Amino acid sequence: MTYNSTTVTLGASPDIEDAHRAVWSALGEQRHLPTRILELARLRLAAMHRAEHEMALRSPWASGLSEQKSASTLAGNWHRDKDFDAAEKAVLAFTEIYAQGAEFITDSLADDIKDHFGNAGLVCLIEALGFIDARIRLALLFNRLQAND
Amino acid sequence: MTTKPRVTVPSSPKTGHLIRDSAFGLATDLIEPVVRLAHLHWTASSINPGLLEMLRLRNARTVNCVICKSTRYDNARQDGATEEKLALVDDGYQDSNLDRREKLALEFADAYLRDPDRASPDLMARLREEFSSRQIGDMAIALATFHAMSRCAVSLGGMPESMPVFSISPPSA
Repeated sequence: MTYNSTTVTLGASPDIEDAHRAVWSALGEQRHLPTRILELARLRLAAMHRAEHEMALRSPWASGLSEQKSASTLAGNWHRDKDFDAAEKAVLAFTEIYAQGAEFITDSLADDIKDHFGNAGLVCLIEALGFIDARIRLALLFNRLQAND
Repeated sequence: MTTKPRVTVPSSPKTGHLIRDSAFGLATDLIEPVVRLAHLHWTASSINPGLLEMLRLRNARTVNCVICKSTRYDNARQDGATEEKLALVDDGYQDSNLDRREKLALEFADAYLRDPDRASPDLMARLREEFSSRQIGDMAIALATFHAMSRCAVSLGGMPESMPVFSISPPSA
């Protein structure tokens, strides 16, 4: 079994595994940010981790997102792609800096997110990036460890 | 890292809950599952609180979350996570007098936090000598949660440059 963020299962205590899955489900159901925006962030994080299985995944969040935009996000070409609107570009700019280190996020990047999605949208994005990144890391780690198990 | 908060947390109503009353509470559609997960790490885990605290601090020091680095959970302290022991959860821990189980858990944390795609090929076999599959899974999700939450805290701004160590109880449900 090769894991990605949607399939990673860790054999943890049942309550903990369920609670972890519930956070993931909540990201797909929350009303603070469109899920296609989270899908763009997931793809960008996957590319920055060079997580091949994650990059190949198109999650249920991708509804309405074209393959051309997904590919542009994976390739890092979104900056100059006219198909991306200002909100999507703000989220991708924030995501790229978050991936390099949360301490590098600037007030300007955060303000751009708030302009589009408000305070709740900024908090939601930050939490989403944390838990998306977490599941990508878990999938990478357990794919690696179980390959040699 | 900015010391200015990037969001304004409503001053009322307050619930008395550390996480619900923080900026995390603004994302109302996420707060309950996040609170439940944070609570269960300290109440339903097959890993003892002292070792969880070591994993939490290894993450905090890697991310450089000032608040996380200064926080101590009282149940972990009761479980033997003294300041002397926690001081060893730093670079060079492999040469410290921490026991083999603790060093392995920290090596697992480093694999997650640094480059998960390049973990030592024999790490899982060594983990299995000391931990059950359930314990490895509990440590993995705990690390994932600690890492996500500490990076959230840094991203939200308002991080002091330094603060003294303080003790709190684990998050309630």
